[in-house]
Amino acid sequence: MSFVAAIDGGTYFHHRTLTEAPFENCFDEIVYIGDVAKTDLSRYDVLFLPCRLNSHLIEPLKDQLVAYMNGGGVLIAMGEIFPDRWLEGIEFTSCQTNFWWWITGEKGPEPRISNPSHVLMKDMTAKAATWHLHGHFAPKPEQESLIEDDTGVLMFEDRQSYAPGRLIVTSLDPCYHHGSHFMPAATRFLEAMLPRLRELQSAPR
Amino acid sequence: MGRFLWLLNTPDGAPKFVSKIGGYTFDIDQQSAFGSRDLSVYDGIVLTMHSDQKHLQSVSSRLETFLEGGGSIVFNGHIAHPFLPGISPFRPIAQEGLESLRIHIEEGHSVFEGLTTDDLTFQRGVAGFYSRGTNPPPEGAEVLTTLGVDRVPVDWIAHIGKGRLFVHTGNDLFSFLHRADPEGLSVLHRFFSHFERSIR
Repeated sequence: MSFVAAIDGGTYFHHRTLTEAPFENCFDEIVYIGDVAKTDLSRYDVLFLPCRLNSHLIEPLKDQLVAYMNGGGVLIAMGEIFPDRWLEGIEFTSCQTNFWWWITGEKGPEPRISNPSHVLMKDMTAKAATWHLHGHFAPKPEQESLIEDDTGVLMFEDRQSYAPGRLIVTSLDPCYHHGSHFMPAATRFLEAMLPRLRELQSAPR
Repeated sequence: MGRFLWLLNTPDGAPKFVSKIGGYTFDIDQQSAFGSRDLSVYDGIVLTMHSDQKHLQSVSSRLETFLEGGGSIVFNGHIAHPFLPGISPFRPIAQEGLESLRIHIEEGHSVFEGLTTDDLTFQRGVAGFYSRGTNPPPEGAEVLTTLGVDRVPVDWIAHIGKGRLFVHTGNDLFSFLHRADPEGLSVLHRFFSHFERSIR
């Protein structure tokens, strides 16, 4: 079983997602954002960055996070952390978020699970990934789509750029909504994803 | 007129309306730069739902000194890490239909004057956006709005020294105040007028 750590930005929605029921047992260690620079990340197999961690605070940690992946670790960046601003090779286009499609009758998000055999997608459903969108990735060949729609990719995995480690990125922001006690789909998304984090294999080191 | 420090903890800026609320100055900065700010020039500090509350805990005595000297703090969000004396963690309510999510404006304070319970309860006819629980207030706080059949406190003001701590138990009070008068911004203007220092 992999050892899973998460970075806590000190927000209430991080607190609820990472340390309260029903997901508190999905993480082995929580590292406060202010303590990351002095933390030896190589002890972790999986490092989870919950939604809306301030990219201004992540950017200075870039070299440490890249070294962690190059050393074999799995890094997961959830929605609104904008990894396109602090990692190379990620192309992201934000979109006008339609929060109200389910009221107005307009077409809503229509995500598809593009790799159902991926360990994080085994319990995932399109319905659990449907609330609203903040933007899409235009994936490079090394970025394998996990969730996508007709416009672009919503979640991908890159097993090449930081080999033997890997990077998993999504533009969906379930931690924020679950942590705010609204948007039941966001909770279902995390129910499908977080209990599987320990099955992600890091490279031997 | 009033001057406020608006602390961000996302890469996005503050809402556009802050530059249009006549008579007030809002200095926008990242929360991480808080330590370098001279607080004596401010009437109030605005803390958003994205606040790093562990950082706020680490600067708690500075916040308390600011309040005691007559400044105001306006907080949005759920309390996860109590960062001032007297505040305690958020408690969600059981979401059981419309009445559990209805916002009530309590009498006796003018902060929400001119707004109706429906203005705060609904967005496009849907309830639940304004608040989904309570940040329990300290004894003696003025409760301005409440939630649900049990009327748990949502918005409240605690007097600390010569200053005031305003707490909104929800994601973003300002989006509701903005929507109540998006052109004139009168509701936002009135809100901030309550948090100007009476003595300098």
